[in-house]
Amino acid sequence: MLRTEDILSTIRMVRQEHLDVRTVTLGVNILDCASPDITQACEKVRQKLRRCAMRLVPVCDDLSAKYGIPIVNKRLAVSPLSAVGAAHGEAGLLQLARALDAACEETRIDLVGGFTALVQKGFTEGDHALLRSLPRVLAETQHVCASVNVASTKAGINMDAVLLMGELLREIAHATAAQDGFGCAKLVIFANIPEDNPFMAGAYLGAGEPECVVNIGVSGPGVIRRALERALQAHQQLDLGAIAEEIKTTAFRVTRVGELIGREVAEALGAEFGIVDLSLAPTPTPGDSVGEILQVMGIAAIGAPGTTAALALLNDAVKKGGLFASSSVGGLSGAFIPVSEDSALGAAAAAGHLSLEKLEAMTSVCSVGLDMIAVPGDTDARTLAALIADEMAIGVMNNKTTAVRIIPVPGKRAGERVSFGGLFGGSTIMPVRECGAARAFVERGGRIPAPLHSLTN
Amino acid sequence: MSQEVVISVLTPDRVGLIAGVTQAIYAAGGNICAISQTVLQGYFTIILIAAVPDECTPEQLQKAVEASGRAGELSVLVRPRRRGALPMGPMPSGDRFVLTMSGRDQPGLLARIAAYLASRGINIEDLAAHTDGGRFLLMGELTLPAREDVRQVYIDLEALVPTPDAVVTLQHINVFVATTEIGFRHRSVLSPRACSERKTY
Repeated sequence: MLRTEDILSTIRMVRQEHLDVRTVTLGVNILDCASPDITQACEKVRQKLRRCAMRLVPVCDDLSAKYGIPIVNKRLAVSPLSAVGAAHGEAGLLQLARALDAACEETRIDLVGGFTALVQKGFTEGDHALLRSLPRVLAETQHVCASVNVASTKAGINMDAVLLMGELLREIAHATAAQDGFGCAKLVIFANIPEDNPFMAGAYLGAGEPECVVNIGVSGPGVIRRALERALQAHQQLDLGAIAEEIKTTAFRVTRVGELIGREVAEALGAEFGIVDLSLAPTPTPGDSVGEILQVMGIAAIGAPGTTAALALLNDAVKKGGLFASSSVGGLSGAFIPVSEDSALGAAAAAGHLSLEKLEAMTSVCSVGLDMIAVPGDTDARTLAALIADEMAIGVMNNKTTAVRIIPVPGKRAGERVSFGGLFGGSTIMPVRECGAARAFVERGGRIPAPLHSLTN
Repeated sequence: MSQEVVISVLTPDRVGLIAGVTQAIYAAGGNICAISQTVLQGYFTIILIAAVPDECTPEQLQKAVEASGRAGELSVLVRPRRRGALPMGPMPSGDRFVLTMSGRDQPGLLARIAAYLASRGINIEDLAAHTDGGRFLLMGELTLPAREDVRQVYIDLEALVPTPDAVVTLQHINVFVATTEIGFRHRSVLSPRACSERKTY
């Protein structure tokens, strides 16, 4: 029997604490759309996405009304375009990206991920073509998101790819200079890329995934912040163990909502249900911030000593609560710390409390990595590559996913403001120390070998 | 042989009421089959179904139960339970939703809400409401016929409480079950057809 307090508690989470489903991401296999004729391949992609995804938005709207839970984003993740378009070169891949863009318009879907290359151990012709096409694709399409996996625990770090990504970041930033380098916000560089991640810009449909699968990203951090505030108001002397318990309980409830809706979306679409991603994904809206959770826990200046420990507690408690709620947990499943998308992190960066180095340390205990960080437009490609290499090393050595989504803002310097709008937010441009000092290291190229603990068989 | 009877009792609450009522039924040779009891702002009410011997008439049982309390304390009603179909209209089949409403209290508000629900064929399965300092809070479980558009029902209910501070929610019951019950499994997890029918993309 439902208790009155439980009903009111759930309603409070929805109405006052912004409990929502952050994203319903439909994964669609488009490997069967490959064709020797690029026009035919594009048409097959559009037709398949229309067939699989046309009902995604109306189904989500119906379920949102039925359960009284907002579903914020409806997205697509497709098979890696480096494979689908391998035979068609740079120009063909641009055409395929436009076909994805058109499919999003037709189905009223926000974003599509899967303009992806997996190059942790080396490049194929298709990978090369996809990487070369990135500046134009990210400048000339609205909905297409790209990802490149340059490292894995099993393969090590492909430093040739890392260096190339440093160069490409600058090219993409220049190609989208009128939007302050916004194209870079639609590109994620990964170590150990997950195959079932529902969050953008890094979503794609991995090789082991079903033909058509629904993956869910659960609610943002606002619910957990309010739960902690309430607990601390009731018991001011809560210790950190009790705080972790409160986070676990809230994560349990949030995850259950995600799985409930995800399974019903899948059933309505005739698709498989995949996973719930437990990641706490902030938005620029005050009150929906991972940084604010850290502040409620007692970190007055985010970036100060203690920040990493607080984040580790948060990340672990969210996972434990979520894992108890669902047996289908996957994706990234950790706290995101995207600086421009999180009002408290952005403020800490602007105040000088939060540095790139501290952010890097924080990424060793959470997902994903150096995320949505604006850096000076004149940061050279070798330095960008070195930043990527550091973050990849954390992922490879700790057997976890890490990623870099960094935006060199053309014509702007450290301390200036940049705004990307909407969910991408805005922030103060962060300084990069010792630019160029790792040039000789990254130019050596080759592959940093896989760590000893990759040999597990 | 035995017969089934429906017994209801209404009285100001005190310790020992259920003990007295159930003892009286037992002493009359009865066996209790189902029971529901609540206390509302100091008033105790209970409804129960009992199997009693054929020779025990409803009037005798009513007197026995009344005698379990103080003189004039219990208002007791006993009726034979009708076997077979109950004299009611067809009950709607559909999903269960939880309705909550709060706002400034107005005379006739509950009557308007109930009349609207009845007009749409929406059955009230459970209902509780109370007022406090001029405000009301209502919470109920409804069965919405499958044909009903939950969005329209929500809009209509919201229009019934036009005060600016009114809050109305209408959500499928599974949200509350999922967020509160550890053992909750959504039906599609266990449904065998979920596997066989998922090839329609």
